[in-house]
Amino acid sequence: MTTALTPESLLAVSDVAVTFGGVQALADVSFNLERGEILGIIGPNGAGKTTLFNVVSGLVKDYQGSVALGGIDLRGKSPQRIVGLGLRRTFQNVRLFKSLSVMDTVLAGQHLAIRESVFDSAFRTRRYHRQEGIAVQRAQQALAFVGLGHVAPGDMAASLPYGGQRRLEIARALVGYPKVLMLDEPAAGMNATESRSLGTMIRRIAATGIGVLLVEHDMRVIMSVCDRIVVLNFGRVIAQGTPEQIRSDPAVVRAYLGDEVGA
Amino acid sequence: MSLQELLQQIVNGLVVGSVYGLVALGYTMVYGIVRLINFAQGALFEAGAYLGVAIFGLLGAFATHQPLVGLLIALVLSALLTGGLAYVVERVAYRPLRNAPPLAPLVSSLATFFLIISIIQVITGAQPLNYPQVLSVTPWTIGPVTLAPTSLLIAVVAILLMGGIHFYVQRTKMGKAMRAIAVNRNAAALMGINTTWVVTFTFMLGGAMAAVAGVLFGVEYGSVTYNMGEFYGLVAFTAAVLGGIGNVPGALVGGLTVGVLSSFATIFLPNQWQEAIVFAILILVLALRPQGILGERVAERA
Amino acid sequence: MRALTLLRATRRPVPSANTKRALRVALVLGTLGFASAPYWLGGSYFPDIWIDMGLWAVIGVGLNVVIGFAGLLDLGYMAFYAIGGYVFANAALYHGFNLWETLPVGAVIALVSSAIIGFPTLRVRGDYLAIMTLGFGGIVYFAAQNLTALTGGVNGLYGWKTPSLLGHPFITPLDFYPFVLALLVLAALVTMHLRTSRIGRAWTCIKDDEIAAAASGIAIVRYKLYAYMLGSVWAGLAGALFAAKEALISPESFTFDASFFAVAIVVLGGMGSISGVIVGGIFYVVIAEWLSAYTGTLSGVIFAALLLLVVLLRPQGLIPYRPTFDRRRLRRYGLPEPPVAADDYRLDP
Repeated sequence: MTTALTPESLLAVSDVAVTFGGVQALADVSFNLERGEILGIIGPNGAGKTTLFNVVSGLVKDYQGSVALGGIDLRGKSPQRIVGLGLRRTFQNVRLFKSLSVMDTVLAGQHLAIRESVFDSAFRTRRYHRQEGIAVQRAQQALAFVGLGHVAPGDMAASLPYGGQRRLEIARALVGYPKVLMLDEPAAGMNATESRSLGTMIRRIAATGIGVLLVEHDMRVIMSVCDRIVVLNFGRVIAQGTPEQIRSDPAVVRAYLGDEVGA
Repeated sequence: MSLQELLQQIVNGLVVGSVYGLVALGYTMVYGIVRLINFAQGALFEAGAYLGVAIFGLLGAFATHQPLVGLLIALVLSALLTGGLAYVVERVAYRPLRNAPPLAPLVSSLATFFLIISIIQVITGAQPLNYPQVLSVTPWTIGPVTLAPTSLLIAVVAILLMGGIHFYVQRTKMGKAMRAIAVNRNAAALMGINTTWVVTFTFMLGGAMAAVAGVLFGVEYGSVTYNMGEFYGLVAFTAAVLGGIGNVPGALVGGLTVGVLSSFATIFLPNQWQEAIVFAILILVLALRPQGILGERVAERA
Repeated sequence: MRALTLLRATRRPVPSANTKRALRVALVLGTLGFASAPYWLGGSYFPDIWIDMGLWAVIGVGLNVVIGFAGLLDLGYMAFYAIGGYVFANAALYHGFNLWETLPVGAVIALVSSAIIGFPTLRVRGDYLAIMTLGFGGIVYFAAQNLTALTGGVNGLYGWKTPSLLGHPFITPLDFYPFVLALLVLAALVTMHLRTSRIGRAWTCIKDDEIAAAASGIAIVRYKLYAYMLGSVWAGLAGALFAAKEALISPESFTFDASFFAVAIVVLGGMGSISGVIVGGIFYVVIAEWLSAYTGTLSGVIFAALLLLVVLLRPQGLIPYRPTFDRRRLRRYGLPEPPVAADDYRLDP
């Protein structure tokens, strides 16, 4: 299952292994993600999907193997450094800032892009106004993109309905213009219509050249959106390929998909 | 400085350090299970010491005739009353804030601390109060060092109690429940542990230990002052951090270490600077080895 | 319990535009009237009290950056007040500096010392900062008492040449009052500006959720340190003004109690709320002054009890900060016709 590390890959995960107190959470996990590609990561609960996300985003530091973003090794880099290199993520349980408004949330997502010094902020220099202007307009674009264009920007992030909060989290990540976007179960708690429009949105994100890493339980979303799929089970990659290949892979069907796809 | 002087300071340091260890126990147990720096602990120490004065006052002549029985009564009563006070503190200032942002319980425990010491200050008019002489003042001479019988008694009581608590936490059902909550509160609750009561009980146990320490401290030094909870609360916290916060034997180790180090300070440093050594230890430990002597490295909780 | 629940914030009916305007005018006039009170009340008692209020309000505004904006508990805040005061006293006494020449030096020293104390702690754990700052406050207090060469020990420092500006000497409290007021306005404006900017948003993110903040590219430790430094600098400036106005500086002003009251001012007034902490500072001086006839400790009881009540029943404080993104900002910075549908989105505007 080892994939050769291709230097031109946007994101290259090779032979990653993680142990938590004797439990092998991930073993020999390798895959590549290219520009504009949507790579689905599926597997039963406890298969190691979230751990994988945490390794890539720098929250889990103790791992074997290597993770490279645009050819840069991510080992030992802090989460915010990795964000600086062009990787953004959302969280399985939405993590929004409860005392920020919708607009401020998306502005906070542009932390690294806004070029204003403390002096600019404190004394409201011309640069401050210019930077805020750019940031607010970008935020408006991003909000419209994720389908929150109609929301009052001054509303509190926490006051949005659940689906809106998920979209806002995506906007916060997207507005940082990442090279790689990792979405952790974005369709959780959404109905069929909502998850269909979410799927469309993810496709549109990838169309801009962003590589999307998608963990999702909703097989309709996975099968209709992903270019390729990596299947994890007990921390190992048991299959890798296009949705068609995965759908018919006997190992996958046995280990995980079974009825859901057969139906 | 002679070797004799050094040994003497070690002995003095161990005596007072065992008292610090008792107070540190409360910090370390509460922190261990609910991750809260319970500032009120210093005030409970002070409250215990002042309750001791009151109890000795009520006992009057009896305490002079039967000093050991008097001391025992004072220790037990003060521990019970302060344990009750700790119960009130937990009920009023901590429990309602269990799910609040982390700053809230920290501020409320700080407010409780300040409330208790301010009330003591108002009641006693900020005058130091005297403790009765419990045992004979004639110190024993053991080899090169002298040791007052009271001091020995204090160290023995303190260390026995800490041993008892360690045993309690390791061997009893309640102790096991405490350890379970320290690892994972929700999981412990799912296992049928009454987490609310265990947390309350831990606060009370910490308060009772602080009260015992307060009375012993009063007996050792002969008087108590209205702001002792402030400084000695910090000393005990330093001991808890030094030993490794959340770690019961660590409280003893930390207490004895801080005791001996601050005792050395009386030789090496001019009078006014002796207290500053505690702050220096605290800041050095936090900066260099925040997990303490016996603690394991704990990552910031997500 | 019913009476207590009334203390909680309730949603009031939205007042009409006219009522709003009238309220705003009344508020502005009231504030101006209150701020100018020392001039029409006269004497030296009232100016003195008003200076105290102003300085405690500055303390509240500064500490608000640390506690209210970044969510860090600082129990040794008054150490920086002490540092500012002693820097001024030394400069004035031994080097003949005027107050105005000393203020920037005091500010810089407060910044540097807060960086030194903040750096090792902020790296470790959030709640350890509370204890570390408590220890730092203690050390500065002991230093003030005992580094006699620098601080004059328990007697403090005094006897420097009266500060003057353009030949006009500053003697009465009323001479100092405008400068206290100016410092308060500056502190309030600057921190208000910081709150709605890149750095202020970063602080809010850290306060709310460190993991999500890091996932947005915010350097947690660095921004905590900024909060600690940009909060402490106001205490340094206020301390220098305080020493100049008192013509004396001694350790009494920087006990743990003082740092506790500073925390109480911020929490009572409303964490994050600038008007709240200013009112908190004024309120503190009023209570302390009113009770000074009794024993000073009674205000300790009252403030501790009030603090406890507020934390339990109204954690947002007396005048809460209501975060929002107001229409004015939107009109100023936003697109003239903000896109509504997803198709309007462009990747790089």
